[in-house]
Amino acid sequence: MTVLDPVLGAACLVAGLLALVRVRRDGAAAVAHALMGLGMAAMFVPAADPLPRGAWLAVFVATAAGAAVAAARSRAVTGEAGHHLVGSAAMVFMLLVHGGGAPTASAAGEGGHHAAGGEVTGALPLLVAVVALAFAAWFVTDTVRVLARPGGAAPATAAPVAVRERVPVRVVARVVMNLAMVVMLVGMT
Amino acid sequence: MTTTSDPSAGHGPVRGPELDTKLDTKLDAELDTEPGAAPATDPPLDPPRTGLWPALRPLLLRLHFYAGVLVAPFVVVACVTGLAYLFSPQLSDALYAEQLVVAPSGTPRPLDDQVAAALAAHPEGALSSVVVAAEPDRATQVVLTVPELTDDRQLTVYVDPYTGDVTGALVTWFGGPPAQTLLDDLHTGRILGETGRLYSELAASWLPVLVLGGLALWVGRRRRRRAALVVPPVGLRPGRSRILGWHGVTGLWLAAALVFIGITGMTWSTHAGERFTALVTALDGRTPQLAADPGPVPAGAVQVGPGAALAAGRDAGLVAPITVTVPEGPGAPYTVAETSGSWPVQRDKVAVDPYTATVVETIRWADFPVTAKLTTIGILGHMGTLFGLPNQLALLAMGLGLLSVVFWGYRMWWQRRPTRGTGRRLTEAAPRGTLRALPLPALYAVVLVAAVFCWAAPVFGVSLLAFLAFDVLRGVLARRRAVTGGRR
Repeated sequence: MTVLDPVLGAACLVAGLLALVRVRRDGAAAVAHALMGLGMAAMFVPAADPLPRGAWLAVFVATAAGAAVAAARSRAVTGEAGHHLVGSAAMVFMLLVHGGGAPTASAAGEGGHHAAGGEVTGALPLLVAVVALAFAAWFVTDTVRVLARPGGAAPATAAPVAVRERVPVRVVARVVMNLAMVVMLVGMT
Repeated sequence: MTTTSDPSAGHGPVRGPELDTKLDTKLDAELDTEPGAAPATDPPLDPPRTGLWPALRPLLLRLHFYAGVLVAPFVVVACVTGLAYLFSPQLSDALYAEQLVVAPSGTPRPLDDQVAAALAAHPEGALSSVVVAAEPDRATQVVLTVPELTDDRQLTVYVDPYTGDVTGALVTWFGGPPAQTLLDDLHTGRILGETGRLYSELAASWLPVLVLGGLALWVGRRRRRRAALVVPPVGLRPGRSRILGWHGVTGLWLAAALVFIGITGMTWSTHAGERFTALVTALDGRTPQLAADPGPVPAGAVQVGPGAALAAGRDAGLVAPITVTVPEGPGAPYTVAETSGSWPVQRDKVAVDPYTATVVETIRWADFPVTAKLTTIGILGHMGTLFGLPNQLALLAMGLGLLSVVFWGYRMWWQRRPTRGTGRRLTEAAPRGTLRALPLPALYAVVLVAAVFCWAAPVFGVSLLAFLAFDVLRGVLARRRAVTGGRR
């Protein structure tokens, strides 16, 4: 465990709880955010994780399936449902490769206790790195995208900054979770 | 490059989006016209282009500008030291002719006699290897391990193969005499320790990005004459357009060589080199090594000398220059390897039984994986030894061209300095907000390519993040100034 793990775990936990508060208003999207936040918090601080890996796998496979259906219905793969699909797939990927616990660089490099669930050897690390980078690139992309339209409005152009609105809390939470996800994914390379 | 918006780099009231757009369009038009063409206020050469390129171009321009201004000093240092290293063989011959060069006369003496002479002259050393030269006027190098020497440095004793006389001894690093070692240390940054190596890695990592980004910008420019893409603007009147023309055309002609130098340099570096090794290992493309496993030691057997191992290697088809490395322990074999640094590449190697002088293992250059062959050829080309003097001269031309391109780049930067009345800004090569304005697929592609290159070249990745942080900070500060100015 690195020094950053509990910090990011706590941040993800807060983000997940904030999403829980919005479930009544935002529905399935808030549920997906909440599960993602809690699941990531559990990966960063596995000692405090009450659920087994199988349970988290089931949760994120189900979330991915639900997001896939929603994306297909909305015919907008790059929309909110698409983001949840990618997020859930990334969680499944990390759970399958590293079993549980944040796949930090130290764990990946030294075969630390985090990696006990599924150490990868041979040519597989290269494939894992490629997939992890592809996921990480998505979360960076999403961060740029949500920061460009913090209010959820149309993409910003060269709008004068003096009239820009304040960044909503849910956007901050999403950015935090995105960056935490990037940290975990980059740790796998 | 950024997700923030910068209304203006100057002070005063916030300008509106319309003014922003006009200024940026004007700036863009100025940057996007043919060298020597009419002023930027002229009508556009072609109808405004739509598609991905107009969205990507400002991003590339911004990246090229930042990287050019901030990384170019490292590139210059690596280039100058590299040019100095390039001619280190000739320099070594001039400085150490007494030790390195001999007068051919008759038949060379047995190798074991030459080794004995070297050991007699320097009994403090233990024999490590012997290098037999290809040229008849070269001394045999007997490489000794001396306890006082650290960091892979060894004592090389030079022996005249015709007389058996010791011509001298030098402290060497992987066969390189002191001057060559010093220039190598300067070029790689090793002279400043492991931390110092980061500067050469930074230069090597950014060079392909600078070159490819600049190439895209140059090729993607609108120009009236197609020839202006590849022909220097010789007849133009002095000014920024002419300098830009020289910068672009020279960069275009050097692009392939510069990318080659950057990538081969990265394979040597600390962090990117680790990634490269991991990659070729995963692809099963590493340079094959002799297992050289120790065998049983026959009772009462006496180990043969390096001369017998050399003879066995020659019988196996190896040709000079050849390096004979002595066994590392009881029963371990001699390794005899071709070490030619020029074309055609010869890198066959054999393991020789130390008691029977028979070849027990062979690796042929022809059997090297393609990636291993390319790596070896790339390294020799980078060092300038692959094709001898023509290779050196080509690299010299490339290096001088690179220095010129960097000079012209800084010259253009200086010409864009803040000037009274023109309102030109020092560091705004392209407007902000270009990254976030990209369509989602293009944005993802850009981020993915950046992520992969950051992974492959960690020093590049860290420095790119530093640039981004710097850019975001500038945006935040500018925004704060703009808001403050607006309230006034």
